[in-house]
Amino acid sequence: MAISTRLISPALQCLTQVARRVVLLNLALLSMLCSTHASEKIDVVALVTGSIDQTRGLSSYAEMSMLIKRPSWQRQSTLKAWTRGREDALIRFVAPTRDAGNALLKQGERMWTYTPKLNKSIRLPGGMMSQSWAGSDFSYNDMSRSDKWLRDYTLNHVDTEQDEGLAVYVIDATPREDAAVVWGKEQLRIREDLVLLELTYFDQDMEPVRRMVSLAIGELGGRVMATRMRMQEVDKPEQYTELEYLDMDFDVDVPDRMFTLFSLQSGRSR
Amino acid sequence: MIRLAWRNLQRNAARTWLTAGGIGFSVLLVSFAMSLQSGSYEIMIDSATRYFTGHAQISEKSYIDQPRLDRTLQNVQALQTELSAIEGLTVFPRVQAFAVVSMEEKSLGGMVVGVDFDAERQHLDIYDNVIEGDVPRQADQAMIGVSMARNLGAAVGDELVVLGSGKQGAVAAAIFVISGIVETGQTALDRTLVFAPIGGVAEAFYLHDEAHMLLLMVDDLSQLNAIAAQIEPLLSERLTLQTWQQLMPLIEQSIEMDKAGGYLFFSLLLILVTFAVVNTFVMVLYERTREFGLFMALGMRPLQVIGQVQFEALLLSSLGVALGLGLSYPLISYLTSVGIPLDQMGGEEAIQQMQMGAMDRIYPKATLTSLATAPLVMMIGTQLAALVSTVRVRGINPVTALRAE
Amino acid sequence: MFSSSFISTLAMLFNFSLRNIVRYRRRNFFLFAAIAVAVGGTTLSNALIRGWQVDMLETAVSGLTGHIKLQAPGFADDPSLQNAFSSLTPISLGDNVPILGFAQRINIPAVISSERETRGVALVGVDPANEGISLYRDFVIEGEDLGGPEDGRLLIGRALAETLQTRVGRRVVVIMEGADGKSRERGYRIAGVFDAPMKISEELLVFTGLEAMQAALGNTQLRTPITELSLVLQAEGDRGVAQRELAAQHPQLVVKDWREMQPQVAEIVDLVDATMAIWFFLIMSALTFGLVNTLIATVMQRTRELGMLRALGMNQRLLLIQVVMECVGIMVVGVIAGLLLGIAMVFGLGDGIDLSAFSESVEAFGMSTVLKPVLTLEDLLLFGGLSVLVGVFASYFPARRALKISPLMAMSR
Repeated sequence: MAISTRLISPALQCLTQVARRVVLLNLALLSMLCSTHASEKIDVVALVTGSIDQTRGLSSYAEMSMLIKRPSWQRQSTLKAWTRGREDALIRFVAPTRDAGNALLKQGERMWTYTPKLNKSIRLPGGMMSQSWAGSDFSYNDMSRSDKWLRDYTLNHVDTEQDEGLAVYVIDATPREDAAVVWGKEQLRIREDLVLLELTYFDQDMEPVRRMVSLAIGELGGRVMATRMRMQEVDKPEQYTELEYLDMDFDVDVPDRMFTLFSLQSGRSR
Repeated sequence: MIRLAWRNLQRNAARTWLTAGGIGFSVLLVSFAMSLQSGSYEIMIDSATRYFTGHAQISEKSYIDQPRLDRTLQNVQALQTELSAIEGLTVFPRVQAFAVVSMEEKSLGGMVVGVDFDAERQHLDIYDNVIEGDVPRQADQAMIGVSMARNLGAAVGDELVVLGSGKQGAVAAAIFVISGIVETGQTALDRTLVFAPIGGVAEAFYLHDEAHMLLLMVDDLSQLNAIAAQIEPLLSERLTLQTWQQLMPLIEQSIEMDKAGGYLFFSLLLILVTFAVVNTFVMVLYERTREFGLFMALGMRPLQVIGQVQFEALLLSSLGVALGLGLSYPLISYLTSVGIPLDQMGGEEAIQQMQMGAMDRIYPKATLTSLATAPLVMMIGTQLAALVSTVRVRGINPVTALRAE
Repeated sequence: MFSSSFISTLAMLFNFSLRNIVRYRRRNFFLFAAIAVAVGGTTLSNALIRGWQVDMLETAVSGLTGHIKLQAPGFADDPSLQNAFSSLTPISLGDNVPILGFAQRINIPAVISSERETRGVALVGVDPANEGISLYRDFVIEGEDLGGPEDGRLLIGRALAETLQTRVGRRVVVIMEGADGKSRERGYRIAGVFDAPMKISEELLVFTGLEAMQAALGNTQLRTPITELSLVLQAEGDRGVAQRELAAQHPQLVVKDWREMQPQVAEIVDLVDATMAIWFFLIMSALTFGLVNTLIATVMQRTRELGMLRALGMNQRLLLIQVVMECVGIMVVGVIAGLLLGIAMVFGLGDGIDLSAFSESVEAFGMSTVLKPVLTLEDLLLFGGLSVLVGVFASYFPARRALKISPLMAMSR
């Protein structure tokens, strides 16, 4: 017994030394990580706002192509869209001929849809907003609320990832208690250059239900932005809608009267 | 034997006639009520199915589970022609789509139903409920329910814009001039339906040679099952035929419930009368104990006495049944052609609510069941009654019997 | 006329009749049975139909209609806050028209959405404390009930929750028309999910606190607007009086009773009463044949006896009374047996007949799936009394026969 106690003491000393070093090492690492976060303490609101504005500007003009894919068919159309601020937007189909002239006008909270076949515009009743727009996977709701994240949600930075050398911030947007939002949460992945890489809608059990993914990122109108996006329901991989931006102009001179019913119905496009 | 039985019966004419009367009364009541029931059920079924739903419908199985615009019957014209070849069957197509219906600033959700008006008007009754204006006659006209008209503030002559999602997501849009307003009494129908000629609706929703359902009307409802059997092999795997029982279980259930109530009443009545008849026979027996004692003393066997009584019972019940049927049959026949006006019976609102459509008279229908049930039951009952009462005959001791009062 | 001798005579006749009835009880057993079956069967079916009627009535009245409802004139055509009235509308009925309670509500159409589905519903703002008069009190609630009129959460039906694929504690979005006529959208938490007897209530009705709803809809000229006031009286029969009084007190409102709001139910309820009367009449008619038969036979059997009584000095009137008494006596015995039988059968049914096989029809008629028979004292007394009257009527013929018996005739027998 006497011998073992003799041996233990130096062994213990050795151990404690090792342990101390390990602990110190860990602490160092930890502080490094912390400082990484600390130094990356981002202004989430600014990030999200910036991302929204990136694709809007004071005003914008875009030419896009939309592909609706289903198991048994698919349809491609071309559209033109104008936006002003975050409130007003006008989207008009240009091709194919069957769809040409159909348009959607958003004025603040209200939306109208126009069809040239009837030469009439119809105000969309509130209960219809969750219906699909033009048969795509986007709903009228999707087309209308871009600054909802600032108004109705609490934003939380939950993680940071890396993508081609750039930081990607994972933001959880949780709806406020009485917000008019059905989702449990929405999760955004925004790159540090303000490009929205992914948007996922979760139900209230926190299961993902819908997802919009940016498939291609490029430069349009002088800005770096997602040029091709795909929206689909998570459990239906065979169907999706893809929007591809063909051309984009920011801060263009868009006359105010563009965002009126009159303009919607007169069918003039630039 | 007959004459003996008859004379015995005549010994107490009052009693005989009263008993026969009781039997006759119940036979009259039950046979009339059953005929009335059977007639009114037929009318109920016919009325309900002729209103809007049709006797049967063919649609895609997936459409029945969840109605979506793209779940259509393909090559519907060919199918329609093929089915029309079947005797006693008329077939017409319908297209249905959910859409936003709007007039000026007001819009609401509705269901556009594309219909072949010329064909349907001849067979379906809903078009008789047009309260203002008329059924659409031109391709750009439509008929809407009274609640929808009220909610939109629309009247005949106004323009209605219909916007929906067509095939493959294309924008489906159409303008209709309101030609008429219909009031069915059913909130669901009056508030959501827009009826328009099928050609225009199909085109607006980009449907070619397609329909969501084929409505079937048969000339004779009793032939429905036979015709359905003829149709089944012609339908592809994806399609299915639903009869009115499956489309409107309400009707069949109401009928069953009513039948159950009826059986309760009839059973009560028939048991009642049978008991009274038993009582009569028991009394008879007590009275004729001496007589039977005499017969048996003279050599007649108990079984023969019983047989004698049975025979009298048979005669009695025949008399009663003849009486009953004799009165009920002419009554039924007369009413079968003339009918009983419903407003005398009350219940119009209730019937309207049950989707009965236009039903202003009830006609009793004499069937084998309705005419034969009561007589059969009463005759068997009477025989049994006589049997029960003669149970003591075997025990009759001629000596004591002769001394009895 | 009621001299003591007369009474003693009556008593004697009564004894006499009773003895006769007992003497011939075996022979007349089946007649008693027939009467018992008639009365018992009628009692049972009557109880069932009455139960159906009561059920329908209750369902109609408790389904947010109440006995009487007050609404603003334009509300029927345009169900929105544009046609509201003040919750301070006073309800004062005299003491002769006692009220069970009344409830104030806002009841407007709305659209409810979950992550997966959207449905049109009726959003009803209530004060749970006042909803003891409606179907609300019978709700079986999973989760929590609304805490009070200020509770801004929702109570939705199970069928709706299943369609929306949502549950207690989740949020849904409700869109409705505000006081200014503009669409209002808000998220609401589901406090509880209710099970109601009728599936359609579960599909269409969504409840929230009244004050919370008033706040959410915004201001009208009225500070506390409601769209309906539903009143339940202690006695349904006071309906007419109550309606007239309220209409006079509030000429600016529309005052309707449940019969006007649900005419088809009113019709069926009336039909039921008529049907029961017809049934009873028919059954009693059938019974009369047998009754008269037996009674005449009884009289004939006792020709000698009756003749002797006549010879001994019994006058015609007394004879008549005796025959009638006996007849009525037979009837009474049978009726009592019948009533007992009927009551036994009703209790034997226990909770009632399960009608779930007829669920569609049952719901369409506004009934619940269990048909509970209802025995009322009035019904029992009525049948008992009427049956006895039938006995009196049936005694006419045998009585006539009896009167024709002359002493000589009897003696010669």
